[in-house]
Amino acid sequence: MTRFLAILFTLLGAGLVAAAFAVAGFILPAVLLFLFFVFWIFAFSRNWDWIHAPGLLLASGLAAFGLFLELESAYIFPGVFLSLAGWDLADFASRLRLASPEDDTRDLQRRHYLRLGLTLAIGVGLVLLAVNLQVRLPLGWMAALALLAAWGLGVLIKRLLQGN
Amino acid sequence: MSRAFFLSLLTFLLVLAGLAAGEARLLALAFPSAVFLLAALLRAPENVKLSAQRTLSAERVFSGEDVQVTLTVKNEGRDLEEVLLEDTLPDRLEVVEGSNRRLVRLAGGGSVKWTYTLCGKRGYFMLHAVRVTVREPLGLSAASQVLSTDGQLFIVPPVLRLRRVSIRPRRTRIFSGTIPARQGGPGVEFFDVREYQTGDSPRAINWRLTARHQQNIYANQYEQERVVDVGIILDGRRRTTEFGERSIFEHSVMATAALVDAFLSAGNRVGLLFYGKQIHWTMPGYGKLQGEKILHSLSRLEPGDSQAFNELFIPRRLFPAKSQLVLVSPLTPDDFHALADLRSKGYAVLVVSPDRVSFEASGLPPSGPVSLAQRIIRMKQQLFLRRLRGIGIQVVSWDVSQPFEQVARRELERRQIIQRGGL
Repeated sequence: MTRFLAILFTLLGAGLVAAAFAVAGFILPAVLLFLFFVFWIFAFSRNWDWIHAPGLLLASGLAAFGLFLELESAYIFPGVFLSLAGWDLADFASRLRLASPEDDTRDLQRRHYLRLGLTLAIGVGLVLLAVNLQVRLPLGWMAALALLAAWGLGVLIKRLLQGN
Repeated sequence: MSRAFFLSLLTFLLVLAGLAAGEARLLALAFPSAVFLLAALLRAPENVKLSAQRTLSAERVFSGEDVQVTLTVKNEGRDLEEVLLEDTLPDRLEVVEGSNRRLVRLAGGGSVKWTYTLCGKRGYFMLHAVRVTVREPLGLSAASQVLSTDGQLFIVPPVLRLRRVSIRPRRTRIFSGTIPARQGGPGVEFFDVREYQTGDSPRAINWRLTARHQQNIYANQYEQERVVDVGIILDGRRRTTEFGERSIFEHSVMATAALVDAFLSAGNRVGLLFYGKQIHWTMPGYGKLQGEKILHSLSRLEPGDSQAFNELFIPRRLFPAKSQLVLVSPLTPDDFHALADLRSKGYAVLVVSPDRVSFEASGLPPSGPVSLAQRIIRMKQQLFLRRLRGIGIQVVSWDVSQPFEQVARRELERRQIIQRGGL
């Protein structure tokens, strides 16, 4: 089930990002993304776990590039969300491979889906808020907020990596 | 690269790109991954308090027998969403039923208990570590620790049953046993005739001889049978036992276990000297307890090369003078002097030699040059073994493709009468 969802979300995510490019007439990035994810499916079927990170990086990078080109964000944002969910589920599927037959993996999966859904819902909410709420700030405030965000993110990452 | 680091990098890149481009939507693209990181941090595993307990169905088994391992892991801290428990096993142990790994959720105060079955090759194994990896629900943050448990497992070599091993050392011990003692007295085999003495059984009178001597009465004497000291020397030198990736050492160990059992069953006092990287000495003793001690020693032994000695070195002070020595070794021609020295000091020496030539040849593809080389080396080996027999050493050359019992029955169970070299 988790593998199926990982493939589904990853392909939908990549498909949406590719569609954003295709609709705007940029065929080459769309074809490249499509070809990469054909290879991704092959790698996933062979349990090559290293493929998931480049997959997410490519989808996110192209999504950012698409936003920079002012492509349709109705395709781009859902595409990134689904790619992120696919990346997470692909890794979760690889962890589930370590379970023994007597493990209650259904309970683990149910809990994981719940957490993932909740996290993504908060992410969607924040993105919607950010896209629709337009606040004009002076440059000094913007710089201060950017520095604060960077510092907060740095602290967050440091603590996470220390935990690992 | 860890997942947390990768996602952090991606988030940073998106934020930087958004700031550089002055594009709010690019910044917004970083939100989902930032929320992921925040969620992971909030649920990051901290103060993991787990304890583990292990029980084994047996601590000593024969090679190839199964052992059931039961592990109980208890969570003495707060709830843990995703816990990977992995019983770390040495390479030579194999899980044959169940799994040594569990992926579970452990509530605070809860525990998980499971059983799996192991099987393995000869060896001594310390089973004292359970590796635990605790992850938060999204799997970005993890904490690992190793839980210590009690547990040791001896997998001893299989013991083949030999009916008897015929040896004839010069010196015996005082207790009665099965080895001919070269002295007249109670026994089975005819030994000598002497003048009848008071106390001799009338059944021992040799009537035929007495009839020829009218003045005296003669009585038969039988050969006493006693127990002896047997020192078994197992050769674990890498250069004599290993050929590429193949090793004949396991065959040597199996033969040693069978010989130890046979000698101890006959009531003899047996000690074991292992000669490999180091010298390992199991003090001589009698009975089943000594058999267990030697099997435990055998389970631990690994071949290796001594840094101190280039040739076979057998410390004679460990073995009583004129006792029986049994060397289990594939042998090389360089070993002749060490063995001749033992013979010259009055030891009775039996060599059980797993045939290294046929063993090495069996691992090579058949071809003309291999066949020719095999013939040449075999001839040299046979000449060497003949030299050993010439100085009174009993040699059993064992082609390891044949069962050891079969070879031992043919070569060792016959009673030794007199051998060349003054046995």
